[in-house]
Amino acid sequence: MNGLVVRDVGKSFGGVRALEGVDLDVAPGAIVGLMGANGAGKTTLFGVIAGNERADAGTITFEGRRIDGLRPDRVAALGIARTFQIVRPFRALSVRDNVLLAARFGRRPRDDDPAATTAAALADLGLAEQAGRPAGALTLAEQKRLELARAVATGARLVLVDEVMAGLNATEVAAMLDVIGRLHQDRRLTLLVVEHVMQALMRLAQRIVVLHQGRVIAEGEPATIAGDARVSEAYLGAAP
Amino acid sequence: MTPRAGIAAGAALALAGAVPWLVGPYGLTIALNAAMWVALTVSWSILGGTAAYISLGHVAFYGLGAYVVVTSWQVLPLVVAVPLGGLVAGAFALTIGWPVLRVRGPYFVILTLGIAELVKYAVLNVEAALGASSRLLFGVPDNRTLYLATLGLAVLAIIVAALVRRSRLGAGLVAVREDEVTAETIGVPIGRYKVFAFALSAVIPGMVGGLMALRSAYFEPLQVFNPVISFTIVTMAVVGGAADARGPILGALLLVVVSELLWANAPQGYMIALGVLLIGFVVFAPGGITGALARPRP
Amino acid sequence: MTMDLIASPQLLFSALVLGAGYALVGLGLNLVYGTMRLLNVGHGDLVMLGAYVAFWCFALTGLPPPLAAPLAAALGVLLAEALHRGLLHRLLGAGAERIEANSLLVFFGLSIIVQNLAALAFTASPRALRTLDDVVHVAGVAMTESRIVILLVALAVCGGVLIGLRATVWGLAIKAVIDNGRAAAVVGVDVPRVRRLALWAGFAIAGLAGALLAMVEQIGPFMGFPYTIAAFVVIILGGLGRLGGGVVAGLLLGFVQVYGVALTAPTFSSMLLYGTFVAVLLLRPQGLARAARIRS
Repeated sequence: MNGLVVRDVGKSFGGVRALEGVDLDVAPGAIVGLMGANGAGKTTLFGVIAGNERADAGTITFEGRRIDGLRPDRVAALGIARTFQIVRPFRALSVRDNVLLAARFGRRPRDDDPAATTAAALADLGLAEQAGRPAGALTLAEQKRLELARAVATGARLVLVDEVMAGLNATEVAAMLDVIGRLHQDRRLTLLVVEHVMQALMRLAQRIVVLHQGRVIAEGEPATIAGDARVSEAYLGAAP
Repeated sequence: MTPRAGIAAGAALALAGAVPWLVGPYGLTIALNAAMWVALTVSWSILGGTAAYISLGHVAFYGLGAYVVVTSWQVLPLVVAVPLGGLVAGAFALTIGWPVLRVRGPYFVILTLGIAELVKYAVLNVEAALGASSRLLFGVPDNRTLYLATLGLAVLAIIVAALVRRSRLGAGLVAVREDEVTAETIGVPIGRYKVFAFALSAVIPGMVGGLMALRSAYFEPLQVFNPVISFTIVTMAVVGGAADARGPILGALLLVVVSELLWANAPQGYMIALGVLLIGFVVFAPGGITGALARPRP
Repeated sequence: MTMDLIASPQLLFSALVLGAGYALVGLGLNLVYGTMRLLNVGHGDLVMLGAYVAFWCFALTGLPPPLAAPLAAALGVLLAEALHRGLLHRLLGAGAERIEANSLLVFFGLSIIVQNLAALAFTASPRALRTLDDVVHVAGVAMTESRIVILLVALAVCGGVLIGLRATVWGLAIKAVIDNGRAAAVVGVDVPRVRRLALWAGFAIAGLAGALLAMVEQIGPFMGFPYTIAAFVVIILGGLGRLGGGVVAGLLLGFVQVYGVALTAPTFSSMLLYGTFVAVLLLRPQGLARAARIRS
């Protein structure tokens, strides 16, 4: 089984090329980081993989199965979950019900004990004490963890993590790094992580892919990427 | 359901079933109205209360059911014609459901309103082509029979709505209400669920329409396709609080009382009261009575 | 025989008059929806009220409808202001999506109230105005004076508003608010005042349209709803804030209905109106939301 394979994917919004010829591989059990400035196409790529957006070109396979063009619920059923950069909790529902919904739907075959899955996901993300509160009442840091809890509870094997550290303070970032690391280890999750907090990504990922204006401009180990002139140019606009 | 609630529900049902033997003809008319509105509003809430897709076009289902029963009058027995009316209404909802439920929020509301008017004029045209602008029905059942049948539909609606709310379907629809994009992303098949709930919420109104068409021996399409019926359903649900299973029942019963106080003497006054209630609840208590009781504002 | 009918300038004239009326009514809704995101499903009831103003002015004082039209417009402004003070400030605090959802049900309630108050005040039986119905022949086409007046005034008002929006400071401000309220506020536009002005203008135009249409339509408390539907067709088809596109869409709807009826039967008139409305919404399932998002 080969994890996620993205080949030559393109996507435009009314004449604006958001993605062009994107290739990406995420091996089973890996943590791959996805970097890029604002507007580089990271969230669009997540949308295309998760089925929220439809690619104009290219193919996406997961565990050997074509998933491009599938509806989001079909993609979820095959074992891919995503978080939203701008959090989207079911605000009026309790934290527990938010996660329980993900456990009741999510992957197929269906979870036969969604309550237990929910309890485990809440415990892993440190949300057990908040379980009875309405999701809309959580702090931003907690809502980011709720995004992850919900993604995990779907039973996904691949989780697309979209900037769960943005807007968090240094302590919260450190805590989040721990949480993600543990999720990866204990649950053997494959992770594709978009992150602006560069140091966090360097620590977390084994391999990093850099997007710039919708194209992959570099990929490799964190140390290599950190020294890549094209990357610093894309980020800082510095001359090579 | 707790044992006490079960006993209360059983007692209420027994009492409702005994109404024809307890009250006079006028009381029976009110009871029939109450059963009809409970059946309609609770059915409506199968989609409107869970997913908050506010249909302002449910009269189309009611009218189609009525039309099926009236056109098959004295051809099919009522035990066949009334369920057939429900099936036709459900099939119609299923057919239009896919495109219609892609339209979200307020646009869904006005779209359903427009569809109901379109169906009304289509039926009027069919009737005109048939040369039957109105019909006389001989040998309609008495109010006692109609009441018991409608009460049965109201109970059925309550049971179906309760089952839906407890099921995976109901949970998925609540997720749709909260955030449709997220719902889809965590695996809720939103399209299928919405269409199925829409069709389910149309079947009983179709049957109710079939029974109500027999309340008088005179049938006119404009009566059974009157948009006021849709408007009344929505107002009842909003007043009672559609997100709560009891809300639609409460709202329907309450407004039937208001209707009895106002309708006979001032039909326009009743409509104005409905309008005022709708606005008042949307602006000041969007959760309806049940919502206001359940969550006192901090 | 059908071909003769289709080619007849008479039919073209009818379509133009109906379409111009729709364009005018839709223009009013476009101003209100565009600037405030209020889904006014009671818009057609303003047309109804304007028609009654024209009817009573004529019945009581003999004032011809074109001269009563400014009074109907003034009534529209009064109602706009009353509504703004009484209710709308409560609605407008919320985000655009909530405003749309709440305003729809609130306006639906208002619409029912206004219709039934009108039925209480004026009885439900329809009335008709008989005035300006002399027939004039222009280039071989027989036209009643009233229809000529409707066409000319509707085109003049639409044209005036379009020019006003391009050439005046207030007009530019309205366009800016329709395009992006927040950005408009940033560059110094007094958004609340602009919205209030647009609300006045939108209601006034609907009232005025009603006074004109009173000459050719049956006047009754429930006459407004088809105009609401037509107005929605106009703004969804024409595009949010695209007042010029709205005029084109209004004319198009007039043509669809008039030629559709000519090809079938008068009983199909309502089906054509509602059918167009349903088709337009199904083809643009986001209604106006998508257009608004892309532009913002």
